[in-house]
Amino acid sequence: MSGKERLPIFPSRGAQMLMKSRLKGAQKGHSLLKKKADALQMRFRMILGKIIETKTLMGEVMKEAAFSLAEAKFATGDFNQVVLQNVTKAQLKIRTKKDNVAGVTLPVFECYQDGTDTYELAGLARGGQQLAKLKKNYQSAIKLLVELASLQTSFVTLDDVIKITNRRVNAIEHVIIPRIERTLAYIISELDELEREEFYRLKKIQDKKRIARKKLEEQKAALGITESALDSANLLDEGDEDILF
Amino acid sequence: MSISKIPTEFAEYYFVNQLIAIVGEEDTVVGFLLAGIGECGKNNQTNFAIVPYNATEDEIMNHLQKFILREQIAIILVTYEAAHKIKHFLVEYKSFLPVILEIPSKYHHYNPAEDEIMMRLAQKYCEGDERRASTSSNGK
Repeated sequence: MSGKERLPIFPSRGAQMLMKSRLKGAQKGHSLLKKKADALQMRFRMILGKIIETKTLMGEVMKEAAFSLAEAKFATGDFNQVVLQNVTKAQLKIRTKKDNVAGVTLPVFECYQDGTDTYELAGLARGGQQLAKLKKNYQSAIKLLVELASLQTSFVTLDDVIKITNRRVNAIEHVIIPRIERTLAYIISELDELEREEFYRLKKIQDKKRIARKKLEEQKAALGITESALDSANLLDEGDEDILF
Repeated sequence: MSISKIPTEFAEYYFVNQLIAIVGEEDTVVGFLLAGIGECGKNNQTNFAIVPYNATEDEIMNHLQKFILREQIAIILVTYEAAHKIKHFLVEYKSFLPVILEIPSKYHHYNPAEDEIMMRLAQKYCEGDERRASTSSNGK
């Protein structure tokens, strides 16, 4: 339990310095991580807004596309089987690139045209215009969906990263920094204790010395006359301690 | 500081030539095929699957799993009816790639309130608010 309250370290000046620098480091790390979390949060919010916007727009576009499909069918007749049988190579393809937000890599999808339109000749006899419109509508729907896909992956990734960052920020704030502070307080109190002890010891020695001197004085006073006599008797004696004791 | 615009000419694509797959009812699939997403590779391996209106959950999952396992596929579109049937799977789905997107079908008009992902977003949005509030109050 004590290991949780403070770090196991011997209270000394050196350890105090070490703890001080560690505290400083932790605080710096905390502020940096907090900044990162804020940046991610900002991006996250932006993406959320965009997703909702794009989703709503996608609903509209898909509705229109479905409607134009019905229109084309009305003009051309049922072409489902023809389309399904004539699939060869994809014309719209996806490529992915990386985007970087505060050290987090997010994928960005992009659709691009590759090759020619397989259904170029579809609707040549009838309803060509409707079919062209239909293709255009569905292509714009795809563009939106691709955008939505990148937003969605970014969203999921960012959500995870934000969770982790927040956990780290909180850990530093509520566990690591308090622990270092407690250790520091412990070191300071121990050092103070040592100082007080030292001070007390010095005082005690002084007291002892004083008492001893007093006793001596008293003894001297008791033997006052003899001493003065001794003093006058012995002119050569200067009262050197080593000689007296 | 604009974050959204990064210079694209320096960006390196680390995946190209990827496909969009679609699982859904016939008309929507045909629409997307006309737009040009369809590909028919070796062994008649297609990137689209038509599931009838009354398809069972297993059938849909079969198609979906096949698409998920193919590396070339980056995005899987699932129409509303099919997505509705495999909702539990979509909720659990956490993988990075491919992305599974629910799209409105021909028969079902789009309603944001019913969209699984939108619901999750809304939930997260609230969560995010709380989280933000808690962190900022902690900071003070």
